[in-house]
Amino acid sequence: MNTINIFLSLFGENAIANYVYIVSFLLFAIGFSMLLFHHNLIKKIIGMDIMDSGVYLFLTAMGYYRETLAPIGGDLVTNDIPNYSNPIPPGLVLTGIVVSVSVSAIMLALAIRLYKKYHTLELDKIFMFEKKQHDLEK
Amino acid sequence: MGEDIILAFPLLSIIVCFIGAVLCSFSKKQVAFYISLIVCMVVFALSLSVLIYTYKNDASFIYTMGHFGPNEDGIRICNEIRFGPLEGFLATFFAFVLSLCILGGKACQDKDIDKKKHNLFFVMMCLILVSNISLIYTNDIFTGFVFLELSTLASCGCLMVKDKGPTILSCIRYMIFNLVGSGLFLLGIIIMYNLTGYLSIENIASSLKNTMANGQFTMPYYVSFSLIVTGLSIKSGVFPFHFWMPDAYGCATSSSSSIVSGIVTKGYILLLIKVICRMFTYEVISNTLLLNILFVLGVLSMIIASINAIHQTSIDRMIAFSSAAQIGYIFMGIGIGEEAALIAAIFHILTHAITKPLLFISSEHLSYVSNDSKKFKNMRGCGRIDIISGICFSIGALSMVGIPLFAGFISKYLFVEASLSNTIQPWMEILALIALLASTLLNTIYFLRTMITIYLPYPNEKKFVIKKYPWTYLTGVVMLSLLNLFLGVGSSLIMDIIKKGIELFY
Repeated sequence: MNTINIFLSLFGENAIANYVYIVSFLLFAIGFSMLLFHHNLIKKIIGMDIMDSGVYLFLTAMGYYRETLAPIGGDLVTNDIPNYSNPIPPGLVLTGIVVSVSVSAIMLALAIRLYKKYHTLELDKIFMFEKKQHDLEK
Repeated sequence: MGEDIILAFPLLSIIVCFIGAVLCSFSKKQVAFYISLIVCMVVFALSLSVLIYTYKNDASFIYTMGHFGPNEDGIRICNEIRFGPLEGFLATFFAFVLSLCILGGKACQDKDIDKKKHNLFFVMMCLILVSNISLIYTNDIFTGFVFLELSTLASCGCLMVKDKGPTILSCIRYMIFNLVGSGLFLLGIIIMYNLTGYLSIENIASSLKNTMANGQFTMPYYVSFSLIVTGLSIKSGVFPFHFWMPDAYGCATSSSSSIVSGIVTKGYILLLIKVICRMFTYEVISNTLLLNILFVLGVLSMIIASINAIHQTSIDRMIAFSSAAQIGYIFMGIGIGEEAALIAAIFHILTHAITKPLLFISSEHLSYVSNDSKKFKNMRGCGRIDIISGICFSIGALSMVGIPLFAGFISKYLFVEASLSNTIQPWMEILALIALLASTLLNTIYFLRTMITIYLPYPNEKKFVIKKYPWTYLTGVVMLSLLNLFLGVGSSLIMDIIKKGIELFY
């Protein structure tokens, strides 16, 4: 904790002080590019998970304030309430994680069905196969 | 107490849908069909009473979950439902259209869906209804996000019941597009929460106005606006993001595509309208280019999607591209920014929600009489064999083109009236009128071509067969046509409700 405080007080520029947000956007970008550029469906699903992790990291980091306590209340009916960090963002993250789990479950079920039909998971091969079928039907 | 129970009806309709979904998941196929119809009717009745109550009292109400009062500063920080005549009317309408889609597509469902898993299809129907209603009623943006995701998952489940290879590919593409949209929407909400500290739409709006008036945080707010609007536009299917539509609607069973195109995408557009009107209010947005961008995207979608529809060789892909074009109309109406244009956009949501299911379901039945093929070259003359489907398809097509007596004419008339108002900017007015004219001509080309194709006789004429129609198909399709004619002829009552609802919407 101390070293981080010294680091931040020495540099103190916005980009370095908010390094967590930059890392979260990097995670989002890595996940998004995996979603776009990889042909294998499982890699696309993993990329989607990484993209969601970036978003949740952003949300959690936003709720944490420096030098505050975890928001688990002991005796709340006092006059000087100590500084707590924001308890709402972790709640939103938990909801988001549940949604992300359901999404991954559906995408993996679709991947299983796709494999049963085409016996491959490479999307470019499947698209070429479908295009050939389409041209044959014409 | 007797009348105040109506305030709890929106929450009750949500709970009824969830109970129906749970009951459908372990029932047999026929029982699940009737359960989903009963759920739709119950929600229809509850929302109708909400509509009548709010219309008579001329007020919009707020229902707090858990009945918590304001905190010591006088601010309400709870999960809320807010409803007025407009929300009640839209919930009624979508429940009714969903029941007609389930009824009308039953014959197609029996053909396409595996018998052991048929009851799960009706679970998806109940979940789509509950997510649509929640998006209409909610006053809390994170609740909106949760039901947005639920709507995506339920509609994907609905689209992939037909177990063919191209269907699964189209569902994967649909999911990826929608999940990118949801991710961007969530990022926008997070930034907005970070800046304002609230999740409830009205509190965000007041905090936004105060900080923008002081000139603070303008760049983060613009980033948040663009992320939210981009996320919702990707999910609705406007011009650059409409590429999932032809595959998804073309490869699915007809009741799935009618429900997704008629109901699910409309839920996202209604959330977008709610966010623009109530969260970022018009005073804040008029300093930005947000509405202009939505207008241009709508105009491009109207023209380019129609041009793509002309090139198609199969009927379902043509109807799907036409769907993308109609969503362009709605975005043009939102982008103009006047109240008259917003009323036109909402009326167009209603006409599209009626006409698209009619087109999808009747075209699927038309393809049954032409050797199960959906290509135009094989569908010649099928309107002469299957009379009712031909008539209903013609009603839908004429409505899309904008012939008077049908619902499409009224919505185009409202758009033209909104474009000719005094307070609109001149470039928007010219562009809107040109786009309306061009897209009407393009719609005429591909829809009337289809109508001529289905009524053209073969040189050796096919035998005239009197078919026996299932009662579900007849009810669904005839009711949808009658609704279309009703909106085309007697739309003044609906316009009254929409106008009053929009006054109480802000």
